[in-house]
Formats: sequence, structure tokens, C-alpha cells
Amino acid sequence: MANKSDIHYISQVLSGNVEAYSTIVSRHQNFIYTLVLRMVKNKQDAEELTQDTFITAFDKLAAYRREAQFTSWIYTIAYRKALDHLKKQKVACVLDEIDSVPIHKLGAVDNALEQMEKKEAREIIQFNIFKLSPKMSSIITLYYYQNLSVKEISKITSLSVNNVKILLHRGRNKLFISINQQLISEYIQQ
Amino acid sequence: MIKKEHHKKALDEFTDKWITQSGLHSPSTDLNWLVMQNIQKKTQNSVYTSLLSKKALISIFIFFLCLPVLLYLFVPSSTDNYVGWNLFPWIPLRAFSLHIPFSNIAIYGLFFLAFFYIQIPFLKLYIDRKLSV
Repeated sequence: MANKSDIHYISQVLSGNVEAYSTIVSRHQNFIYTLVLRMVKNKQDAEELTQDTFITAFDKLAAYRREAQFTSWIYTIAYRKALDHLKKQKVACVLDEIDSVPIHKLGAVDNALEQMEKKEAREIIQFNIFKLSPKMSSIITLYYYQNLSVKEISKITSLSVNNVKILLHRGRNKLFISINQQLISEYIQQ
Repeated sequence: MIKKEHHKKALDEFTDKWITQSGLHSPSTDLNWLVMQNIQKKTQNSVYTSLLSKKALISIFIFFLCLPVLLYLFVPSSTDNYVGWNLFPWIPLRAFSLHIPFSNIAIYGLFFLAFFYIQIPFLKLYIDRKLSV
């Protein structure tokens, strides 16, 4: 049996079948939690913000216009909630320094990660994504996990297309440098 | 320039491979339950309750339904009215008259008000049927 689309469940909810919203929550909770967690960098806050996102989305469901994808719409809510939270926490958005990327080491880093246990490699990647700034990590997450275009990400984050491209480029560079440095330091320790 | 593009592409492929392999984080197992609890509380709170009870509404409806009949039976007739009080002259209504002076305009007004209230339940049924999904 084919999975029913989000629109099907939204219509159910708007007809009065509130229980149908539970399916929408199950489908999207992992990604939204990941997106928010990588921005706020705190599990408890990320849980609360994820809940708030779904509750706000439910409240505004009647106003959802089907011009945009439902996923883009709900990711926008999540992103804005995370940003508002960061503003309240007065977390300074520090400009990331641009280091030179040792691109010749790309193959070596790739091999090193391949040879590790999958779980260990995952932890290294996740740890280093956490080191990125909230905007950078959110853009990287949206681009690579959901295969969203730069234009779609620009609408979600309210950043210009050029800004998104720059942050994406810097994010990739910084992530690679960070992973490279961690692998070098672990190798030296061994 | 070509080298730069090649590096950019290589870095993009590296990032794509390892980011998707790193997977997503999972929230707590009761997140769905907590969200649904919250939503159900909200939907319960917003149930509409009418100001008047059903009994009161039915009584008002019956009163206005009977009003034209009561007016016809008990309001004393006058020679220059248009409602036709003299339709049933053999019925001895004078014995029941209330001796309250009503102008014709007041009588017409009460008639129209009564018919207006009578049509409300039918209008409500129509709107409910039209707007139900």
C-alpha cells in the first residue's frame, strides 16, 4: 500500500480527524529535531522547540496554502523558532573564519572514515556538524538531507540566494577542515 | 579555474556522502504523544457552547410559531385592517379579546418578526450542510 501524502492527512485534520496529525508528526519529527538540534546545540531545548513547531503548525494548518511544499512550510516554522530561541539566549552569531582547505587530503580523510566502524564515523560527522554555526549547520542539513535547492533554502531561511550559496560553501569547507583536524589529532594520540 | 571547480565538486561529493551516512537524530519516544496531548486539550477547549439551552431555544421557537395564530385569534379586529380578521365571522372571538389596542403596523411587524425567527433553524441546517466537508 503506497504511503499517503501529507496533503491527504492535512485534509483529514481539517475535516475534524485530529488523530491524523499524529502521522504527520511521526513522519517529520526526526528531521525537524535534527535541524533544530544542530542550531541550538542543546537536546532539551531542541525537544521543546520541536514540540512547539508541531503545535504551531497545527494552529496554522488552516492557513497553509498549498503553493509551497508542506515540508518547506513546516521547516520554515522550525527554523524561525530556533532562531528566535537563539536570539533570546543572546547567542552571538560569530563569523566563521575561512581557513584554507587542504583539498589534497580529501582522499585520505575519506579512506580514514571508510575504515572506521560506521557508528564511529557517524559520531565524528555529527560532532563536527555541531561545531558549525546555527545558520551554516541548518543550511547543510536542509541541502544534503532533504535535497532542497538553494532557492528553496533561501525561502525557508529568508536569506538571499547568494548568502545561502556562500554559507553552503563555507559550511562544507569548515566541516572538512574540522573532520581533518580531529582525525589528525586522534592519529597523533594513537 | 577548472581545478577550482574540480575541488569544489570533490568537496561537495565528500560532504554529500558523509552527511547522509551520518543519519538523523531521534527525539524522545513520547514526543508524538506530548504533541497530540497538547493539541487535544486545545481542540476540547474550543468546543462551542450556545448561550441558550436547547429547551429555551425550542420554547422561543414555539412561541414565535404561535404568535401569528395568537395575534389572529385574540387581537380585536378593526374596520381598516388588511389582515382579514373577518375571515371567520361566525367564530365568537370578541369574548376572548384582550382589549389591547394594536396598530396595523405593529401587527405586521410582529408577523414578520415571527416569520423571521421561524426561518432561523432552516437556515442553520442549510448552512451546516453546505459548509460540512
